[in-house]
Amino acid sequence: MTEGARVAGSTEISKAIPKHYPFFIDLLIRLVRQKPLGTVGGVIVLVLFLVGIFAPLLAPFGFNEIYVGGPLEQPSLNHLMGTDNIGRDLFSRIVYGARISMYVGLGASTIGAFLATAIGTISGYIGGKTDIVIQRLVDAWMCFPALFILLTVMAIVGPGLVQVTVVLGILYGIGSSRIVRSTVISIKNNTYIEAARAIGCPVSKTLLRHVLPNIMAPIIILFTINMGAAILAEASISFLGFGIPPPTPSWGGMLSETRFMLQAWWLAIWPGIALSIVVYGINMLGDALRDLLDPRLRGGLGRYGGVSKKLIKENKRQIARATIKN
Amino acid sequence: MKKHPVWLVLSVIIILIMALVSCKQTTTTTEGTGTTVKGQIIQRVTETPPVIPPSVETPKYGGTFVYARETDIQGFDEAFTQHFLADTLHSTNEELLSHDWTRGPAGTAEFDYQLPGINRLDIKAGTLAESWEIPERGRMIFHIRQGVSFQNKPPVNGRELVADDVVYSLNRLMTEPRSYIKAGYPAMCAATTVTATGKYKVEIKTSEAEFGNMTSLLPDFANIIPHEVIETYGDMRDWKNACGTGPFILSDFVAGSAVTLTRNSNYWRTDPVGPGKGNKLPYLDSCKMLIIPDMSARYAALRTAKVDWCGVTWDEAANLRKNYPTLKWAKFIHDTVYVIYMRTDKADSPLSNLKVRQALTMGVDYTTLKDVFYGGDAQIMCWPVVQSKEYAGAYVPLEQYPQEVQDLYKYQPEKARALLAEAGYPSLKLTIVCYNTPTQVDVLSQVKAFWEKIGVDLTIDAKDYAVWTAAMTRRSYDQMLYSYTSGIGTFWKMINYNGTSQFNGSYVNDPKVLEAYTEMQKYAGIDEKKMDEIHRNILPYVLSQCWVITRTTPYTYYFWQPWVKNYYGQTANGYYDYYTAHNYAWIDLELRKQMIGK
Repeated sequence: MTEGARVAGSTEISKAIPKHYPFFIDLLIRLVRQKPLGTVGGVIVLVLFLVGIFAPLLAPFGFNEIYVGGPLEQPSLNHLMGTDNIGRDLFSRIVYGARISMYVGLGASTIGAFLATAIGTISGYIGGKTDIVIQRLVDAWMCFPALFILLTVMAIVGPGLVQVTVVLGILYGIGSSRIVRSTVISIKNNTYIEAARAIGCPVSKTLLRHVLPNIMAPIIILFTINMGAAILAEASISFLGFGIPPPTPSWGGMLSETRFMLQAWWLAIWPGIALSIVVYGINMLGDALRDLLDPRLRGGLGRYGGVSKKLIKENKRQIARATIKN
Repeated sequence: MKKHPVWLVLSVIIILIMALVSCKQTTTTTEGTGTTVKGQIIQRVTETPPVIPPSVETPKYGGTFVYARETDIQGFDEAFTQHFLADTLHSTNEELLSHDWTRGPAGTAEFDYQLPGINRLDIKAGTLAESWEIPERGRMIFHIRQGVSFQNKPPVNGRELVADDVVYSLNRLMTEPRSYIKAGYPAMCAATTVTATGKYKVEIKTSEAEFGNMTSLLPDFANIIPHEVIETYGDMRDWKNACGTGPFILSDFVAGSAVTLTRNSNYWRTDPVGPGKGNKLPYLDSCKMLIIPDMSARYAALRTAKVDWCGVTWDEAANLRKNYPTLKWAKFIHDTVYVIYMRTDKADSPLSNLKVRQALTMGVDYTTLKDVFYGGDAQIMCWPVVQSKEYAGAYVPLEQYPQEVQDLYKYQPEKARALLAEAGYPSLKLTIVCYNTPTQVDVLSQVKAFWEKIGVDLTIDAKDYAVWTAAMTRRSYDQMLYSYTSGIGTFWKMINYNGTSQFNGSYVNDPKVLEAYTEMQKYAGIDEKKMDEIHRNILPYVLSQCWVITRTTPYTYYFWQPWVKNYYGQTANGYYDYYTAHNYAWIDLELRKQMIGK
């Protein structure tokens, strides 16, 4: 076989084998190809982050710059979303509100993810009496309605961005630890874990190197789902007056100002739309990630869309043999 | 799955249509004068309300007057519930004195009785006391009206009121530990004796120091009750036990829902003035108070004529006036106003520095607050007293102050910034505690925006009601507190900038003020006009010290149906005697039937 034929042949064979990308890039590619709604959701989340980060550049006015327009001015070219009762530009407040939602969403999800991972992993891996005790505490925690705990704690600690984020993070973290725990239980009896134990790997190393990477999928899903829930929860407690202190805008807080909504519908519509779109986007993204990462939903042919790992190995062997021959 | 994109697209289209429909050129709509601030301004009612002349129609009997009120009745016994919260007492019971109705809007119109805290002896008339004397400071004699009977219900059964009832009632309020008078004025209670010197004569003696307190509380802040009720039931806390000499009998109470008062056919008073002079009162068959906590529901009830009377906020008033022109209305500045208190007592605090306080005062654009935020429907100078007919002598309009005081209330951010720098605070961080309601937050957000321009970073620490109330009553805050002042009736105590009460929220302890206060006390209960003069004279100094940051205060409105006659927008017929508008009012049933068919 000529060099050209060898190269042509191996190219044809390699075309049949999907390229191996790093995990996140592969995930992104499959998200775009297979989950259009999830992609839309991802774009929405990305826009949220960018708006939050670049809020001072995007907002034409400060969030508390009063009388930049007349009070309760309708949407116009000067003020795209109108103004509120003290002449503050609503578009600017929506943009800065995105920052709050981003902080709270990201922060609470991160704290929640860490907490869920820590509790779930320890409880699931160690098992026995430790697991029983921890799970009973989690049971007790989950008996209380979330809003009740939120309002009680916020009434004690007082309103504030940090307080809201931490409280929501703890709330979701403890509740989500169950999911992490069940995943850990399902993998802890796998052979590779047994092997690690057999060779004397310390528990911490086993957890970090073997358990954690294999529970990343549910953690990522929990992260996105909790993000949407955290944003909604922050909106709820701000609506009730226990959330972000004024005059910092928060979408929920803006929705709670009902006094002028009959005469100025834009005061309710824009924050409501922003909240709806963001939560919708996050939920769609979370759904898509769940579909992509859940092994039970991969189907019989696995994640490579019809090409099994065995087939890939076989093809690689054939390429190697063809190369040697030539 | 295919449905999701379809719904998403439809939603986006609907939103875009709404957005396009709403986007239009701004137009300036003004109904009056006002400052234009970068866009359209909604001008509200700026003119004074139409003067409602004294009624010339002959009053008719019958009908029910219906109030819409926000809060429930807090109690029925003044010994356990504060006078201004036990609202039905003002209809079922009476005090020794009350406002002179003949000098009000139904008569000579010298006064309009809109402020609830009006408490001047020189405008009162006898109620259960036919007349009174002050032979010397420290002594007051009341001649009890003869022929007045308690309501005809057991255990009192309609017997005549005598001096002993007055003695009993006043002593009870001065000894019952939970009574507001006892708890709030222990020194006055300890120094005061009330005795019956005849069947219809009561003498009250107190110390000279407590004479002012005594004259402001016992004649028109203490309802007279029959001792039999207390002896039989222990107290009057159960509404069924309510009994007095008032024009109405409490006939029903459903907590959180409604109160019903029916005419006392044995009531002693006759109409003192107008076409109905000499007629037995009350004219109404009954009076109902509907408890409607939700503001929009109250306004809806007013608009649909389910209620005859409702208190309305300034922002809704313009809408009602425009869309419901048949409704009658009145407006006034309520005598308890909100201000920003400051810790002037802490030596290490920047707020103890006069220049800092003056700079903060100059840094607030009161005119914009008045003309733009409130659409012109507000007043700037409302502290330490508001403008009123009754206390015209004690009030000074802003334009009559010395120029240096007027300049403090002009918006001068550059001067404020310079003053702060001069004081050693080119930048300043301050925190204010407030109650987490939209009205408070909106005002403070504007103050925050104003102060940002002078280098002051204000943090708004919005608390829930209980925490804010605690901070207010104990004056336990670090730097600034947004809270309200005392009513006008206590102006003679200079309570808003002197003493240890919650209303001296700025911890003012000034020798000039103390001097004026000492002088004022000599005339308390004796010479109201002299007290007005002393107060007027000290005001320029008080305002120059900027002990509080005043708030431009919006008007409070009352709206009522056109068939309600002989009512002129007054709040109370006595000192904090809320919900007594119906005592002289009558319903034109024919007019009502014409207008709403029933």
